[in-house]
Amino acid sequence: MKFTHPSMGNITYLTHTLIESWGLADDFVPPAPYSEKSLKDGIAVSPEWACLPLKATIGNFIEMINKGVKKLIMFGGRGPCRFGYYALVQDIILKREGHKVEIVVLEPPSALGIGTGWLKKVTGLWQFFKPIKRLTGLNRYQLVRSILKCWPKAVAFDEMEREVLKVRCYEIEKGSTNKAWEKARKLLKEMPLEKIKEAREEAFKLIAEVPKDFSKPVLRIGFIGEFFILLEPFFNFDIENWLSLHGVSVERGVYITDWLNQNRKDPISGLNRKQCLKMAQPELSFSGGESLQDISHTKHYAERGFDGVIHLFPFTCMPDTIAKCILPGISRKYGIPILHLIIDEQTARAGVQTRLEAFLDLARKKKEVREKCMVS
Amino acid sequence: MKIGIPKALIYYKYFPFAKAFLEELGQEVITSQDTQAKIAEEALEIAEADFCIPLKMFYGHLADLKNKDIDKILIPRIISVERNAYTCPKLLGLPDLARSADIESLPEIIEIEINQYKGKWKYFESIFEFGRKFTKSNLRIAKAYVKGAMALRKYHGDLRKGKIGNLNLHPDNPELDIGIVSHSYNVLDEYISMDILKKLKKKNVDIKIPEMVDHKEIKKQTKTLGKKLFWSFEEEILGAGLYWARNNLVDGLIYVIAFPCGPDSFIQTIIEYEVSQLKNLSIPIMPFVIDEHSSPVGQDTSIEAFTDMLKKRKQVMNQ
Repeated sequence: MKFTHPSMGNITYLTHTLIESWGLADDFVPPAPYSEKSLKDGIAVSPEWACLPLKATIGNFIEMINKGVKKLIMFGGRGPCRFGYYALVQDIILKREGHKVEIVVLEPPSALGIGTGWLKKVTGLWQFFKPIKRLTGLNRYQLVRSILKCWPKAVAFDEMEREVLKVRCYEIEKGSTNKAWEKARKLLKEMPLEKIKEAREEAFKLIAEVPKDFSKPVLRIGFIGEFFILLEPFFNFDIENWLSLHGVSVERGVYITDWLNQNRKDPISGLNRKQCLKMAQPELSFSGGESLQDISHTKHYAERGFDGVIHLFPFTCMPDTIAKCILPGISRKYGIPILHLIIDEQTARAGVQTRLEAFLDLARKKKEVREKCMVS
Repeated sequence: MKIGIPKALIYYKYFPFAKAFLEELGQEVITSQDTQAKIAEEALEIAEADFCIPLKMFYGHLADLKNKDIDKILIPRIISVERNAYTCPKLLGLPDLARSADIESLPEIIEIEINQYKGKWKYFESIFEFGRKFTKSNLRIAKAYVKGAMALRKYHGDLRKGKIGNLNLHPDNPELDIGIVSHSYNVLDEYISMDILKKLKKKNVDIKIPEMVDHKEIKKQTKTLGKKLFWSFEEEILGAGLYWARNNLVDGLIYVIAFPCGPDSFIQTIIEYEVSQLKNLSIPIMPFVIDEHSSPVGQDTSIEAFTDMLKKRKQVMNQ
């Protein structure tokens, strides 16, 4: 039976390898990229002020259903952000619209475990694999092995993306880094899992070989905000590319592998969940979604001398609205300008670009003044 | 010490506990005044535009407390009231939001963290830690807790019987039974709800609120959904709505939603679908969205139209 999952940024590169290793490549249909039409279809059937990712993913699902897909894979959650209910609401909406499909929900182990402490972790992991077992026909040992084997590839993709965001602004010929990145991604995708180390080195070499001028004056801007909007270029108007073209070296606060393994020792974004919880104090003690990451990354960027922070999130996103409320105080305290961009289905690209241009001008002027003070 | 408590959000759920607890420990409890136009005006200047109206009014109440003679403001951080579930995401960060608010010379904010996500142990630890701000005697704190629990029980008992202050939600010969699916901080606040309870009473309606439904019954109803709900307050209102609809206890439901409440936007879809799937004739649901631009006149019209329709429907079904 044909199956797929929602589209989001580079995720298909990661899932493709895993699904291939399960032997299900023939049944898998890569999710279609987002378009105005699929977004419109999603908005028509979704609750009016549900967050944009829900409307987008429902539209994406409807497009895939029309292409003959019968099974949809979706991640679950344990709150407090709404993401944990996406699968339930998507199921209701698709049923209500008359689509006969099955949504396979992958609830996180922390939502499934019984009891507390180690018992909860172990029972949670055991339950986590149940739907994947049913889908693939493999046993838990094989599934764990396949995930551990694919993990270095997923990490390599994210590390490469971090590198590209950092150095793309220095390129001499516009678009050369993106071309090299496309080649590098293809290389990583097609390389067998046993040769992942060599593939990674070659991929990084491709990016390093792009002619760059490191004497160019660039701004260093940090990106924080809601997960889906940060990772999906269709909804953030390909903002990272635009910023690179305008002389900005970007560092992002969320990556897919960081999200999947939240307490890793070497997170790609620089801070894992425990560190975020600590760093966000005392301004924010506890919250859900990405709000703790927003606050802690802003402080982290400020301490490392970044020139500004851009905060992107969908309209009505609850954790990020709380972060938006608290960030101005941090901006004043640490002296780092923050631009808040709230995205919904009616946000226009031109409006976003105007605000970005104004923000970059402000950040440049502030940097000039700061450098003059340091010199004198 | 004089402790100020804003009359917003969790006030409507847990205030009697806080009052009895603090008074037993020798503190004086002062609340802000009822929500009214002046509080709303200040609230809208301070609060973020994207917040729901009860949270905006919370800021107005904070500003009102500034004008009173108090030493500290108590803002509980209610993270979780049962295992493996949270309350609303906004309530998790309420003290942080209050501290970052742009209100000059606000008295110091003290907080108590209520977190039963992993069980009741941490909850009792927090109660005693909070009590130690006022007394060194654990016995006194335990006594205060018991007094608080008894006061809260009486309050919930009154709500279950439909007694809200001087208002009785059960008229003698009601023409209709309507269930209000909404949070207490929407419906029990006269300004935010635009006095919906009194308006429905005038129409001779027997009003049911989620606080009237037994907790076990709520869990029974929400078990039928595909996923365990991780928002406790949403589970209460959803479970109550399903209980009334599935057991034919109401002629109609009114779903009062504050724009842009995140959890409610999802729960609305769930309840509308579940009610539409009922085997008997389905119950009409009127979603009613409130925000600071809502007009009381508009609400009057909606209520009149809805109750008229329900009465006509009842007549036809009885024939």
